[in-house]
Amino acid sequence: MSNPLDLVKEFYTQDIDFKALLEAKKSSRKISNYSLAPYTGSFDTNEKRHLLNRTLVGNAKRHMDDLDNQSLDQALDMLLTPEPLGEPVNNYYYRMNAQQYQERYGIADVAPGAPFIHRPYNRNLPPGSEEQFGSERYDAIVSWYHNAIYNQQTSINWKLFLFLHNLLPTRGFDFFGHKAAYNYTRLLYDSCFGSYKQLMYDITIDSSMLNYLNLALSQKDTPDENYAREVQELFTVGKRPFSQFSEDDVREIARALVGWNHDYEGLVYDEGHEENSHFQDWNHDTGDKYFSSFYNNTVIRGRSGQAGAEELAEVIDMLFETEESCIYIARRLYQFFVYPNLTDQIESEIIRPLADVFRNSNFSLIETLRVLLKSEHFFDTGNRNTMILPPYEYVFKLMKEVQVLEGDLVHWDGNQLHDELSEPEYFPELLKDPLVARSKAFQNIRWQISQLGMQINEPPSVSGWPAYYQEPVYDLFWINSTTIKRRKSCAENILRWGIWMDYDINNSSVNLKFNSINFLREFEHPQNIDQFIEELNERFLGMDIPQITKDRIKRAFLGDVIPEHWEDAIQHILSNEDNPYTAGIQYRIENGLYLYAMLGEFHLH
Amino acid sequence: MKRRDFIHKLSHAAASPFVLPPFINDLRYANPNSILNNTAQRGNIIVLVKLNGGNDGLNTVIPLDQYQNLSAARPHVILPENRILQLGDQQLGLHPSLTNFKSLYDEGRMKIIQNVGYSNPDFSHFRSMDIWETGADANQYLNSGWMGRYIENQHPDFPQAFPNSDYPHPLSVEIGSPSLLFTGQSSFTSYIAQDPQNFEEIINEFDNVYANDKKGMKLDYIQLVSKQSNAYGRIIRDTYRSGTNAHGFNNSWLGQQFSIVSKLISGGLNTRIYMVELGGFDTHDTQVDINDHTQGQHTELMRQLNDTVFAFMRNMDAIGRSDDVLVMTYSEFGRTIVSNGSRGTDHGTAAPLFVFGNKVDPEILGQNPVIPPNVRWQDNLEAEFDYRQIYSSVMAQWLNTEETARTQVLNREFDQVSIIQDRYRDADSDGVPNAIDLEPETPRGAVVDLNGVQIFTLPTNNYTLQATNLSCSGKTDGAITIGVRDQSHEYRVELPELNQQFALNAENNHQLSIDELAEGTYQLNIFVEGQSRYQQNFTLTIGAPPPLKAKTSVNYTKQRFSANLSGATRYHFEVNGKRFSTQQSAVEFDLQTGLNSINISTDKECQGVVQKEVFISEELQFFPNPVIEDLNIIIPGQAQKATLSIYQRNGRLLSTHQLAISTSRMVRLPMGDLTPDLYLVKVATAAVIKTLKVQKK
Repeated sequence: MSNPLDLVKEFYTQDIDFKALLEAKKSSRKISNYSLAPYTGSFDTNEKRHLLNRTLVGNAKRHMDDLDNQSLDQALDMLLTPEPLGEPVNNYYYRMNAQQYQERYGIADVAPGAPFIHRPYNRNLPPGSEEQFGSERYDAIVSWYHNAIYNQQTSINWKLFLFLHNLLPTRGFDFFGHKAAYNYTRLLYDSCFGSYKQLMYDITIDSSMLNYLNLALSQKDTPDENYAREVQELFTVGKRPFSQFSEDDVREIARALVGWNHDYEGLVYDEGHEENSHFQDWNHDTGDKYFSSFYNNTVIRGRSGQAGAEELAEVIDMLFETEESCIYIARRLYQFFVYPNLTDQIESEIIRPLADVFRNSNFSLIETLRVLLKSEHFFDTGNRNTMILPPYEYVFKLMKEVQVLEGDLVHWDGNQLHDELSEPEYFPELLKDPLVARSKAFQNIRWQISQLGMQINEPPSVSGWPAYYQEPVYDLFWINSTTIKRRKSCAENILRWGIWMDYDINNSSVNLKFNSINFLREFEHPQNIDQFIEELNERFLGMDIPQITKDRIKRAFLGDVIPEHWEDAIQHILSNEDNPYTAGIQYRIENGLYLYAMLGEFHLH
Repeated sequence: MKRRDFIHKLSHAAASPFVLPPFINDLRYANPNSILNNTAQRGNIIVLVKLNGGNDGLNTVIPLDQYQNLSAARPHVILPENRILQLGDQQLGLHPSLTNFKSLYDEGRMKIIQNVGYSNPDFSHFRSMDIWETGADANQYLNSGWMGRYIENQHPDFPQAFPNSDYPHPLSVEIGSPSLLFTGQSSFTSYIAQDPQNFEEIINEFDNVYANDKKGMKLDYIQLVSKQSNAYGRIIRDTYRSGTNAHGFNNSWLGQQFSIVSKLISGGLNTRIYMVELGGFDTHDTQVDINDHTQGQHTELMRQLNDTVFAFMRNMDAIGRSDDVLVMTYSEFGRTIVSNGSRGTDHGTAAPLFVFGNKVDPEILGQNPVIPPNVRWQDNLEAEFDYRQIYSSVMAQWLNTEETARTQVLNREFDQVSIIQDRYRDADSDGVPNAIDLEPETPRGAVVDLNGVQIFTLPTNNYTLQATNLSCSGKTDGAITIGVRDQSHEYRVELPELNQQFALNAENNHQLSIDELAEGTYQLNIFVEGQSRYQQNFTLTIGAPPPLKAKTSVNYTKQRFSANLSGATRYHFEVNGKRFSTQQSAVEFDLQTGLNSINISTDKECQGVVQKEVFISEELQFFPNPVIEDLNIIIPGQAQKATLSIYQRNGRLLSTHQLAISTSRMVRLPMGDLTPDLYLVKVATAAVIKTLKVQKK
């Protein structure tokens, strides 16, 4: 395997005519059902897995357990219920205590474990700067939402948040420090269950968005067109040729919206974190705004004084009156939750009717999804396991399946694992506090996910992440020659080395590692290696794999021992007997799972 | 501008591609692959630089004859006239930070094409970048990038037959994230080299055949990417590691990307198409500083571009490759003529484009844009050149692509503009320019002489060579076997080391085996009867089996021994008198308490034996706990002295003591002075490292 020429030989052995294959695939679609009518087939493991794969950020056993004995309707009721979300708290006190905080930022901090988002910042420090905001609370907010995703209930809330974040992205941490990033995250999270049209109003004057697409900088004599364009092209009616809005329409919306501004002073320097965006009537274009035939030649009458603010609602009304707005959102929902590549038949038989549901439910994403996720089409076997896991789903699936954050601290010294200091009551002292441990763990996890091509609050552009919108490749974008390797090392970190947390007094690294013995206990027949592999396939892949792959995984689990020895060792371990096998078995379980994470099938959902 | 003289004085001596080094007077002794021109080995390279967000053309290349009207139209961002870098006697100037661009222009190594765009311009980033990358009309929607189509057109077997011996290296390399540009009609055509120094092997079966459905298609794709990632990843790592940059790059993201490209080329990567990108050009606001328009966001970007392209060209000069490279910038659009109140500019239309290289035709193409006196904010510049004219011309004049292929890639033919000087154009890429090429249509990969005439040669894979190593060091049972594919010739093999010649012809079935060779390096010179100018040389090494190598480690806590073995396929262990054998190269087993003796050997005695002795200590004992005065520690084993370190519970080291261990095996550690608390005591001897938790009262 080490010689590149051997690989070349291997390439030749796979004699595929790719173009012909793709053509054949295009023509022989395996979807048989194009109906939004309620699904009437059986609702068993495979259907439950498909539903959860598409509605959670990383499906795992505990979610499957939640659906035990549930009907499809009951499952949907559970999934389509909002999930409470707390506030980010001071988990950074181990880096900076109250006194140090006071010295550094000239303002009192909150107690460890207490929420901080309402706290004012010091107005004597340079506005919008690192000196003013620091990085501790940034990290605290990042670990807040990552921790919530890890602990997510069996609810669609976080998945829908990702949908909205990709559709209406901002770089939340720019400029305002933490309050605006929090407000933006919260607005999207809380709006998942409301009206999308209302969200368009709210997001337009959200300070992150006012800043991100320049509406806050627009001047009435030379209005900035950035937001005016994207609010049409990306947020509501879609791009040409589908939507025929004109360049003049862009300019007219820019004129109608000029005057809106955020309240930097109030947001940053006052107690509280509420958005106080306001309308500066002196900076508004009070002339009438004329729109093209695409908007039925709508005229928005210019208003002076504070009445000018009302033009925003009229713009939103006008956008949502177009048929295209509902079709566009229905299409984006379909592409995100079912399959990204579209055909004329999907357009006419799924997306158009879905657009009507969206309009008739007062632009409710949830009610629209209820119809889609309950449909015959959604459960068509041709739609299952067909999308590549996005980075968040890949990493959280791994983490949740092995419950890595409930694992143990281990110490690595070079290649050697030694655990004489591993009892949590000794060192590292601070990692005893679960707040600190989670904070540390998610600093590492955030970096790992970003290496796979995605990071919440850091979109590559206003269009979101290419894998969600770029025809014709879509989700293939997640996998390239670099990210495939990084997925591998990410799995290795989580499963083999553990998540890096800190250094101990011996300068060994302290890692958080999943407990493979607890993991074993979740299986029915772990002592029988063949049955164990079948159970793992069912749980991790939801599909069968070639025998040669099974054999390789089996070898990884067994190492140099025979199945009888494996059975004996697992038997001992599960009966809690103190025995010499534990270390060897742990190592082999990590090896085997790590191979799973590299399988092509593991990357699909 | 006047057309330059034909005898253009090149400022860089490297730009003389068809002059052979003077010492080659007998081609018989030339290695055809290194001296003569062969496009399969070396050829034209293009580096595309994507400027994301829409670069403000009017503040990059400034029409000086329009300065009055320009400063009226864009007062918020206009550059001071006396700071603009005028190009020769042209009514055209560069942004003040593009000083190196100006010197490249002065050297005749930079071309400017003004007013590049397309008709019915689109103002969306999204859409307009799609148009530029797919090569579409404004009202046409294409799903594949023009470069992707170009690569698929030239290599119809891509991706399934790649890499292969003709094309062992990636066809194109992107440093940033994957772009639409390289998205072909059936595959991605680029390799993403973000961290070239690292290579991670994907372990999998790679010849799975998947079902013919959506799921199967994704699995096929993942399998292919994994395979290519393994194969290309190694090559990228190796070339990157052996590459060097004579001149440093600035530490910007663009600098890092160009630094990678430069190292890969210098390390011998034979990829011809690269893309790097620089974002941040969407300067709706604060494009310039309020007090000094020559500073600010846009200046920062110009500076990065200026420094990086120049550093790249200088590095290529240093390794003699600057004749082979062409750097071209592109951006989705220029910006509005009128500036806005936020000290920025909005999405515009046509803009200038830069091309760099030793062989460019440096004439400035295009007229200065005309800025009317009363510009309205919706007024924009008109395109003088369709952007696809540039693509088509680059394909024709630099990538030597025929008209039919160009038309297939861009869906129709576009009028050519002059990018490369006539005298350097080389339609068959044989390194001999058309003007003096006696055979201007030599097939790809052929070896040509000074006049561009194909000379007799055979592909290196005509020969199958195999060297058999010695069975053991010191013997002389090595062998070399030689076979040939093309059996229509009579061959002669010369071994200078043995001072012997052998025939390789129909008599011996074109098969030859040379036996009884000692360890060493052998030169093989192969000749073809009747082709006096042909010679192919090979160097083969006959080695002896490597010594047995064992990398071992001991986990004292778990009492486990592990070894990573190499050198053989089968290893024999003797552990404390018990024997076992294994074919695994990674072995782990438990150790007993006390002294363990481990003996590792292979089937071949001459490979040697590895012996290890490991002492597993018994548990330390210590008392009293809690301690008031002295802590007594019993250290079993044979060590003569111990190092004891006392740590506070927060990890701070308090003191370290070196103590001799008496025959009683007990040492005393004074702790009477310490304040009551919990302490960690680390005990280290040659065989024991333990940390004790001690309560002080």
